[in-house]
Amino acid sequence: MVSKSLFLMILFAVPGAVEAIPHGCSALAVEGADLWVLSAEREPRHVLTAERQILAASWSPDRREIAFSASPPTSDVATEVVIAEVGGQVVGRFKVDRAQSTGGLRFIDGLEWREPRTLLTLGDQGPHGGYMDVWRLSKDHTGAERLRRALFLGGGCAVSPSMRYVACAGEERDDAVMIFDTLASPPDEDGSVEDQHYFVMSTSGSQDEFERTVEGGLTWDAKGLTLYTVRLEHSKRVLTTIERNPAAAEGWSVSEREILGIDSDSRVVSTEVDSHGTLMLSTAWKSEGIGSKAYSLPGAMSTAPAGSVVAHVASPAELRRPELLKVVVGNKERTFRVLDSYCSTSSQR
Amino acid sequence: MSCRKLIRCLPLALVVAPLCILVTASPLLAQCQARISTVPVPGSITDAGATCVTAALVDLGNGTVVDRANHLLWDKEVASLGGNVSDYEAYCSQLLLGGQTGWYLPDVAQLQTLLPPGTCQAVMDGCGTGSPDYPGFNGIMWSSSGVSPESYYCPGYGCPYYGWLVATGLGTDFGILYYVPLTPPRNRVDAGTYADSVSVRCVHGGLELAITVDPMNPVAVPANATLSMNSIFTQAHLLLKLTDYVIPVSGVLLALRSDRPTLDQFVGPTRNTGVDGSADAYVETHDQTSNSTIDSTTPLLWTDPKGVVTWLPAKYVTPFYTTCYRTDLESDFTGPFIAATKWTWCSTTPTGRTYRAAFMKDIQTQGSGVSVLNETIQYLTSRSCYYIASCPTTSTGVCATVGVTAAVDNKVSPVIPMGAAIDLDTLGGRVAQDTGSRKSLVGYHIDIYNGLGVAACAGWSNPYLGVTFVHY
Repeated sequence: MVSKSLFLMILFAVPGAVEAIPHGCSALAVEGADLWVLSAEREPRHVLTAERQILAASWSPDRREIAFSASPPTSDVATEVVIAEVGGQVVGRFKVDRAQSTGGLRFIDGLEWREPRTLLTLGDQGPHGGYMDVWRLSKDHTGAERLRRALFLGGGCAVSPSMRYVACAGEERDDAVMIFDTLASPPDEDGSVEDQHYFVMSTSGSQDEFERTVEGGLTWDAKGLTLYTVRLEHSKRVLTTIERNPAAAEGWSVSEREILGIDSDSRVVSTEVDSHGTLMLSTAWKSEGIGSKAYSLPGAMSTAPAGSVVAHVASPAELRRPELLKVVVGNKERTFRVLDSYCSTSSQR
Repeated sequence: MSCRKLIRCLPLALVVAPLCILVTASPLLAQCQARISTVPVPGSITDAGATCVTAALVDLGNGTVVDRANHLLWDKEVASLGGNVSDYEAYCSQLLLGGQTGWYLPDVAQLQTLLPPGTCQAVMDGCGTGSPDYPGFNGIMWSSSGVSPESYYCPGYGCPYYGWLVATGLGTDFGILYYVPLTPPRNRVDAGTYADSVSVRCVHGGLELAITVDPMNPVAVPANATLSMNSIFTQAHLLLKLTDYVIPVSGVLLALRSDRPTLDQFVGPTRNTGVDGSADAYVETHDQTSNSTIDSTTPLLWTDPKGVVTWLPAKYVTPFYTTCYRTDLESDFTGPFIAATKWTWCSTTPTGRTYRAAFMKDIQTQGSGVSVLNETIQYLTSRSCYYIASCPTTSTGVCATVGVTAAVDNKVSPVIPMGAAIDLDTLGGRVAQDTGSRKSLVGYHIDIYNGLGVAACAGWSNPYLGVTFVHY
């Protein structure tokens, strides 16, 4: 699972195990071109050194392999995915797109290994969007075949569990949420779904970019039919729920409820639905960007009528998806960017 | 007998005396007499608090002269005043000079610092054993207003025409400094003839703030710096030291100002000065193209030295992932031309126009494209529509320009403010004029606008480049 958390956690001088990671959890993290595994129980372990800085990585579902985005250190970047064993041995690699000088993707910034042989990539084509590619890995994982390609616009995208819907946050001056149905239109001759009509969540219509902000990204529920995001509008924090509704004019219905109980001097940096189906929020202090609290919104996913939902402070252990970690390895402090994380079932709430 | 009469008689009796104790006018007689028994007499230099450090006088050009050696600030001009000591005290206390209030009559120790080098101690050597008027016979004679010079400090000399009345600094009595020159040679200048008025030179006994720029905290952008809207970017650490010229002063909350008030902003001081008189603060700037001079706005406090921040081009500690973006060129694409009515237009649909489908699709991700008819077409994601523009337009509304335009994150985790001038290693200067989609352009990532067509980004290797912040 690709970590889209923006939660920033700083940890100083932690010899041995990474205390910022809750018990039973591990993180796949990079420092430049170096890929590491950070664990609550063990010392950080260096996996491999890639040819260039790694932007996206994901564990295989069985945690035995790692896929990461790569680009050869050539002057004309072609995006690739490398499959490696957790011990660091490269198993295979496949090209995602042609070189950008011929109109290919510029970089891969999202990668999720969804099923044993299914992997998806989110590639950046230009400043305003890119393509989601769904890949079927060969049996030995030495290569992959593209199953589907679909255009998306915006950024910070979240792909539904079924991989049918891609939800993205809108452009800078309009924090609308867009949902792309990758199966709504037939692919063109290149196998790419590009002519799709997409749902755009209209907002208040205000043109003041500072008055509304999507906070903490987008997250789907387990069924992949309901999308959650936290938006800040006129200093009021609102939980926006976008639910698949064929009867609705655009196929999706939107409801909003005010969130109460979150410190006003913090900002929401990540949202996720935990294994118990509870919507979780992580916040950071506005002034520093340092992680502060985790909240649960137990009533958020109910179909309660519009009103408000109260955020409850959760255990700090729920802050398990930091974006950055500073960890002392040997005698050197290293700054890691966490790209994926998982917790064993027994360790989850 | 009045004080005046007392003085006037003295020259007659002591015609050789070079010094004069000038006492005030007759109404002070009672007071003078009453004080005779209460005037404390310093028994030594230590008692007087003399420093005996040769003055280092600098004319500040604002009516004041600073003695940087002894941390004193002097009134450059003497005032010729009548009245009595309380009048002189009042004069000084009401003085506003060099932007300072808090002036007062000097004490003995302070006066001594104005004597010629080597004569400082003379003030206590029997009082009046020398004269600044006569080389080799330097000295200072002093008295409070109610003290007879003969009886106290000038045995054998009597009353000369000129002299100083000074405060002892040890009691309640004050005298008046009279015509002590402030420029070398600091022999006392001729005061002219005796007069009923006295000359008063006030001294400033306020606090002195020294501001230095912390050399251990160079001007640089810290690692993982984040920038919120309208916040400042480059920062220098200021070390503050507050003294009563010599002695640390604690418990004062200082206020600072820069000579570039629209460009610089202060963070702190957040606490009062500590027992050692120290505190610290930060000054942040929008613009590194000139220096900042920092001083204090705290009342009764003057700044020496002022803090001078030489802003250096601040290089981000973290290199930036540097990508390239372009404006599509329709001529790069193949396929049939299709009528413009196929697509949704934000306002007027171009009539009679045709465009290649692949070109129009790619505009959605690139943001803009130029048709074979040289029209600039842009896409508005939030409304799913195209429109004709006069140029490839950035999010700030200006035309994207090769060699100038760069796109930065200004919302999710911004580190470069919009409008900032930056300098990229190997690429040179750019201006943050554009943005990208949320989270695909985040933090330490810069997207460089490189012109028209796919060829514009040919050979681009997405390097990690160092970035120097210039100004905004």
